[in-house]
Amino acid sequence: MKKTAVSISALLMAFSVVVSGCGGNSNSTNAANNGGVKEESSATTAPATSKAPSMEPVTLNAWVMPNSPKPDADFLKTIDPYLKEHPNVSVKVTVLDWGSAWTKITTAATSGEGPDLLQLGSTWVPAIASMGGIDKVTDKVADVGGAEAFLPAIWKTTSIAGDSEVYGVPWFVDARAIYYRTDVFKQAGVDTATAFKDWDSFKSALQAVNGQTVDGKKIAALGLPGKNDWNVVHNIFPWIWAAGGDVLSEDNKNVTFNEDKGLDGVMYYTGLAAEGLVDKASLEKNSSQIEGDFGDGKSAVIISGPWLAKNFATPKANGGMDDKKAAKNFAVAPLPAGPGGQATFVGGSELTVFSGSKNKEATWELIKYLTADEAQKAYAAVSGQLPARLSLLESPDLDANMKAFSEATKYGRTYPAIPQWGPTETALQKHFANVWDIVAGVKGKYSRESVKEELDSAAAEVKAIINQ
Amino acid sequence: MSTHRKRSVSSFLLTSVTWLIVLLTIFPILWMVFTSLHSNDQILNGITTFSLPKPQWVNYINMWDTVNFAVYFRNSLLICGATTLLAGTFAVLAGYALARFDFPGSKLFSMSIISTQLIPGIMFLFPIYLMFLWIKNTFGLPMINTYWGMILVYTAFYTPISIWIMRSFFVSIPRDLEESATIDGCTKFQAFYKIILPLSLPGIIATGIFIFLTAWDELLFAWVLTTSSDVQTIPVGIRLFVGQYNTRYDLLMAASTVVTVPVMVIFFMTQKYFISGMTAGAVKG
Amino acid sequence: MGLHTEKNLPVKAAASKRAVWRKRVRDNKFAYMLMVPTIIFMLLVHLLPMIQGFWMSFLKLNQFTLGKYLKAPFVGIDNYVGLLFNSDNPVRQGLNFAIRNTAIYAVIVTIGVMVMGLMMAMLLNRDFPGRSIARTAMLLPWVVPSYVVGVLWGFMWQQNGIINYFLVDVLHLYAEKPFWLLGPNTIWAIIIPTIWRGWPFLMVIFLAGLQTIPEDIYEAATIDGAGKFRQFWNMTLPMLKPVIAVQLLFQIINNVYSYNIVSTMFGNGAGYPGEWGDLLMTALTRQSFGYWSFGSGSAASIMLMFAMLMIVGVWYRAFRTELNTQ
Repeated sequence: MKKTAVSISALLMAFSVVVSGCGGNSNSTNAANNGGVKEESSATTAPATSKAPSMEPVTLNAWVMPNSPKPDADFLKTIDPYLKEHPNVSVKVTVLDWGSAWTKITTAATSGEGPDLLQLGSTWVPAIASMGGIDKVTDKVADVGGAEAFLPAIWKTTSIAGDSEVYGVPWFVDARAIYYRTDVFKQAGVDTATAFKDWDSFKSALQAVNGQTVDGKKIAALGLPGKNDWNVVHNIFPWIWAAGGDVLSEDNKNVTFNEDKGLDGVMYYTGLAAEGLVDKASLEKNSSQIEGDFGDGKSAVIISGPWLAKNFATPKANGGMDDKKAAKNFAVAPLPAGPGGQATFVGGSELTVFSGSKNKEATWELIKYLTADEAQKAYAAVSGQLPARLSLLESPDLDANMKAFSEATKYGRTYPAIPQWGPTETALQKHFANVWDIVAGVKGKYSRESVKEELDSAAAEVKAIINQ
Repeated sequence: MSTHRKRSVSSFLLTSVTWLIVLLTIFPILWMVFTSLHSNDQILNGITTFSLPKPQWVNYINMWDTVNFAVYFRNSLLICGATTLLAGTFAVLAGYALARFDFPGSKLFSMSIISTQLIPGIMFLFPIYLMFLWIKNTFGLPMINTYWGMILVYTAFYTPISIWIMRSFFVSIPRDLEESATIDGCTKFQAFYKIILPLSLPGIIATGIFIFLTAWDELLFAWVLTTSSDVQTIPVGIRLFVGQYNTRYDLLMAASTVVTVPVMVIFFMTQKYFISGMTAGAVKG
Repeated sequence: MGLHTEKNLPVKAAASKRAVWRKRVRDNKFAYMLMVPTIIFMLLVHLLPMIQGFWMSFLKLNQFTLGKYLKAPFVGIDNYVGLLFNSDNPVRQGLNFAIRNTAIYAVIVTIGVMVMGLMMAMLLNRDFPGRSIARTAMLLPWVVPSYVVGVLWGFMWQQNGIINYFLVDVLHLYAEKPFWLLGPNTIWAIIIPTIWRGWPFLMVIFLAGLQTIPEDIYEAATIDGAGKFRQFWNMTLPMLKPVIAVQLLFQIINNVYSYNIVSTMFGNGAGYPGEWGDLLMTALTRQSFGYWSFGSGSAASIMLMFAMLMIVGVWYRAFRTELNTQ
């Protein structure tokens, strides 16, 4: 019975496509007249299986960020098996860029006018949840394996701090670790087994490789982006954490990153640049440019995420760097431990059900698919990100680089999951940008005092934000 | 004799200076095209040589399928084209009224035209978004993420300044033309339609180009008022080449070139009118 | 004359004034008809949103109350007071540098585009080989979308970019390659591309203005022994004054509200342009959306609007004669 209904509707659809092809006016189908919009609908293909719980045709709108080289096509390819199995479901993808996504999601959340499936950066979830922009999924998470199935650091960001409700399911994880040039370290005679142990060994290793001549060019020890970057905050906090500092106090009521330990971390990290281990030109660059520099042999060490390894495996014609010397001579190491232990930033993205959605059930089904093993693996492969599922993170199939990142997630930290994190990060970004101006020598003199002053004003602003 | 030589020397100098400035002016555009023929990592590393052994023409192919660029392009053309037509029409009508008739309220209207330019766009963003939503909920007419929503906003934004341009243009056309036409038995509308409009073609084209270029350039409202690639415009789409994890500056530069070229073509085809339109209109301010 | 009669016969004058007014309205039916579409659009997309924005400035609008929008808690003039008198107010802190930078930016860009535009218009108004090609080429920057300008110049300004290559490697103007996208130089990194993109338009306008000045008055002046500079100062400039007046106003407005180039040059909308690159519009966008303080953001916008109104007032007083002579 259902089968016939589907095949009739498929026939009708196919027919209307033909009609509209002749310039007829067709309102019955969207697929025909929305031209270039990539829409994967399997409704017109064979209605073979009828496993789906509901056969009502639904079109799901998904908002994703550019996570992979071909954002919309890659996403659709990942869910292709699902769509084949659920011929009644079609998915329309819209890619938001990170720069404007915040504005757009805010307006969407306010109005309830938005997608069905919404990708959110892990640090954004509490904020959008507190606005009522996304649905609680607390009683459904058992479907996807619950908290135990995912990396704890990222799972923490699926709820608001001090609240047990869950608002999203982790999709992929982005962790930061050290990339270094094996050939340069060898040439400088640095033992890579001990070089990344702690801050002291790291600094002396950097000093040893600094200025090594590679292919006739002098190489800088470290490449790091300064203020003109979207990762300004993520770049600095690992060092604050490693120094034993933290963003906020335990109860999220007080600001602590500007205390002595936090300052130690900032001073150590910025000190690397101030002491000549970094080519100062990199201070005005962004993460992509720093990665480009590393690929080009301008620096021997950088801190980046798993996507760079993928980039080194991507052909030049597709925007990758597989032809570079660095692509064959790099390895991944964890961030060195500071006085407060080892730490790195773990971010990533979560999939959420938009509260204005009219197809919540179907959206949840899709989330279930996307966060299950098969799709996790597939998406990790196209995007170069880490899967969020523990079983996959610990799987022996991971290659050496991915294993290093999977290791890194173990000591990974996230920001406090407070609703005000969005504004807080905006404020931090502004003040940390000023710190880089100080390091570059274009804003006063670089000293512990001047950096502290900037951190203090950052703390004052953050305090005003979290107490409002 | 010597004054003559002096003059030709100074003229030669001035001409050289002019050409030097012309070169400096178009250099960034040439540089954009040159950059777009490099590979991503070359651009990331900074380009400081003028030699290019292997131009990456492939960027101009890849840009269309990495991001769905053709759709953004089509949307921009449609939205900006319709805006130009609508705002242009309104500007011609209202500009003519302001230029020729001293009616009660004309001063107030002129002032409110300037006042509209003083409102920071960001203040509008939220109200317009929610007003659109209200229209949808009340009348069932979707406005957000539609062509006509965007066209409505752009038309309203660019009409006031276009009225200003058109008004100055009409002021420059002698009044006696309509007066003699009216004596010949034309109605006011016929005089306007048959005599004045054909004469103002350069001014209308100039205004049209102005509107089109301004709409082509709009960023903020395009971000917020469109939610799917069905209607998103180039400024929204072009940013997708720069992701957090992968950036394609090579494709970004190729796309930038592709975005600039058609406008340049339109511009070349109409620039004669444009300059003469501006000439007539600008004089009276 | 009007004043006199009004004083003597106030009632009658008022009545006849109303009658005259009514007649004028009736006589101008055609004009009103022409205005109708524009007025509808302006009410819908200018006046209505503005009233809402005005109302928003009296509300406490943050992420928790945003959903209620116009029914959010009313806080009176708190937003204004916070901006004006509370130095700890985060919104205000964010605006301090933006105000200074916008002032510098708007003044330099406005003067820059007008001077460059006029200069080039005069150069191109001469007869020389290839003049029409030169004219077209000069107009091209105006056609480049500003979001492209931001990205393109962002690359060119890099420390190892092409601009430093010219300045240092070719011309040896600096001993060391300076940073343009960090620190105080940032303001130049945004001013220069804006001028580059802005002056071609002014050039057309001035070129048009110059072409309407009759040649013979210059000839007469030359015979009288007036030098080139004197001719420019005493004849060209005064003739162009109405054009300058109008363009000056539009330039000031445009530049104070400049957004695209800065936002695309720094972090593609997500970054912070720095203490010397932040402009009012990038700051207000960040304050409104980044900090979710829409109430304060609106209040700041309203105050900015009034400041601009004052500038328009000054402008009008300064150029009243030129504006009314037409």
